[in-house]
Amino acid sequence: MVKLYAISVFYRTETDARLLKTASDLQSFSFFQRGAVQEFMGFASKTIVERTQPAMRQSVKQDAYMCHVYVRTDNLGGVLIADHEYPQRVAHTLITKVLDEYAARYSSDQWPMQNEATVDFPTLPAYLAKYQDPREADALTKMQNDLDETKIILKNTIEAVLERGEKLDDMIIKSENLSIQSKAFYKTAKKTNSCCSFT
Amino acid sequence: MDENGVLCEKIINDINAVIERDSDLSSFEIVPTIFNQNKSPVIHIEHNLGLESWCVKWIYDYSHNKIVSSKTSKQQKHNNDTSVVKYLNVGLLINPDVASFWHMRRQLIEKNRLMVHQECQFAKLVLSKKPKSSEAFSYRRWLFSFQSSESIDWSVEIGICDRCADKSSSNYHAWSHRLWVLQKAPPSILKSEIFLTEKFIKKHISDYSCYHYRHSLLEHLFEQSFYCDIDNVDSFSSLKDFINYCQVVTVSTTDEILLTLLPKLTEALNKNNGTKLSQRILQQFQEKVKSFLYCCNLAAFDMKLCDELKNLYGARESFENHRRASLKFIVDNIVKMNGIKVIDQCSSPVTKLCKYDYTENEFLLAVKKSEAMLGEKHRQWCSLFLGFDFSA
Repeated sequence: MVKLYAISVFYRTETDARLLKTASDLQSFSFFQRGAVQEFMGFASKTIVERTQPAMRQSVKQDAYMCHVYVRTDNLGGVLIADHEYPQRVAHTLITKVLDEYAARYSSDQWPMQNEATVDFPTLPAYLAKYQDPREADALTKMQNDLDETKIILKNTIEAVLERGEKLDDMIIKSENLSIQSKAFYKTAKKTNSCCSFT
Repeated sequence: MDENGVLCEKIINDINAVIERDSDLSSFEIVPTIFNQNKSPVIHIEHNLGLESWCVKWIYDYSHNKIVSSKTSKQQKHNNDTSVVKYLNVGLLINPDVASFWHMRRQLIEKNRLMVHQECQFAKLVLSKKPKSSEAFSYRRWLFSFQSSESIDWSVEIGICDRCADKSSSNYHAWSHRLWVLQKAPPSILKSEIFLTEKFIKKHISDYSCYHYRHSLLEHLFEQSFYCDIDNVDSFSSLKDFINYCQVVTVSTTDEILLTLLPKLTEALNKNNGTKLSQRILQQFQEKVKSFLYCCNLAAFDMKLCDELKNLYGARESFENHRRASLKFIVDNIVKMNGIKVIDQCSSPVTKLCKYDYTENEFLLAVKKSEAMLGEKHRQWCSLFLGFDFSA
């Protein structure tokens, strides 16, 4: 499936990454899953931004999903969660464009003080809807040419992004941003992938 | 009844109360929970029904036992047939693959104990949980046999197929059901089907099930002599581009296209001009030619679409296969419409294909030449399935 699920803008500090704004489209998930999916996408986005150095581009594959991430040298970071079939080049061009527009709207000295509630950035949901069809990106071709694809680092799982000694399962259990419900979903999903079950 | 039984009975009643109360119920799913949180496991939010996972095992066992015992005890069969329905509901929602449960519902319908309309709703609810349930699809088809074709809202059926195919990839159950709809429904749905399948393909690029359906749709269109909007200036633009790409001469009008694809036919028609053929047959024939142009244009459009998708996403098996299927459609029908001679009947029994004398048709020769440039593998395919002879 060619699909964009979520796009988020972060401000990255040495130790942490703070969400500035996010937009998501979770219609393709079943009703009771959406809450957990939303939390997980937020969790994965934050985790990956924290582990991405400034001026670095990564694309991390996890199951059928792809997390594309780019952190600018001024510590503004963007994460795009898409299906693995969504063209990588278009995804990274889109992140660049979103971050450029964010920087044009708010100056960099404002970023450290901002949080999700204070930021108003309506372009985000608009772009998420528009670029569901990657052919829309034709208008971006000029930018695409500037983007050197060899500079995107590919990782096969989220585990590969984690630092030494970190374990995804432990992080999920310890995380305060994930509800009990989401953790239950995570456990079941792991179980369903390994053997048959009713759910 | 022991304590567990009472609890199961209560949960089953809760589920059935929701099904009865909410006629617009759109989805059912099992919500994973780790513990029994000591509250009702039945969740009903915005027309969505959820059941917490901890109780699933218990209530499924319980319903299963109830259903089986109702089948074996004759007494209950006479007394209250409908009491088993609530267990059937729960049993099938949790596990839609039990054919005998579906069969019991059929028996109840035949005895007029269940409403056809509500049963349609129920099958739809099951499909929301398991989009690949062939039992639920076939139950719906069976239910429709009680209704006249005019009274059925076919767009709803198409919508269900679309959602099920979207939810789970390679869902041939859903597409087969849609093929059945295609046979039953009035031709008015055809135009939107062309549009909807194109949209679906653009979203699910490597799911061949949809490409297969679209190809079957194309065959169906030609069988029905379907065409629409063919009087515009650029109505056959894809076909024109394809011809111009293959051939040295350029075509621009519909007559020129016709002359290129069906040279003999055009000749014969001009000679005859209605003198020998009856008016009715001639008209039928003209309809067929229009449909031929329309369908070939659609096939040429698909070939172009596959090339475009390939440029955007890189090579995929589905693009190549669909491009070939579309090409085969064009070539086969040109052969058929021109009445090209068979020179070697069934040379290879496996494919049941005939060799035709392509030298009669200049356009096919041009296609052969341009397709030959797409590599050795493709040439092999062409010689096997289109009967192109590259040895000369």
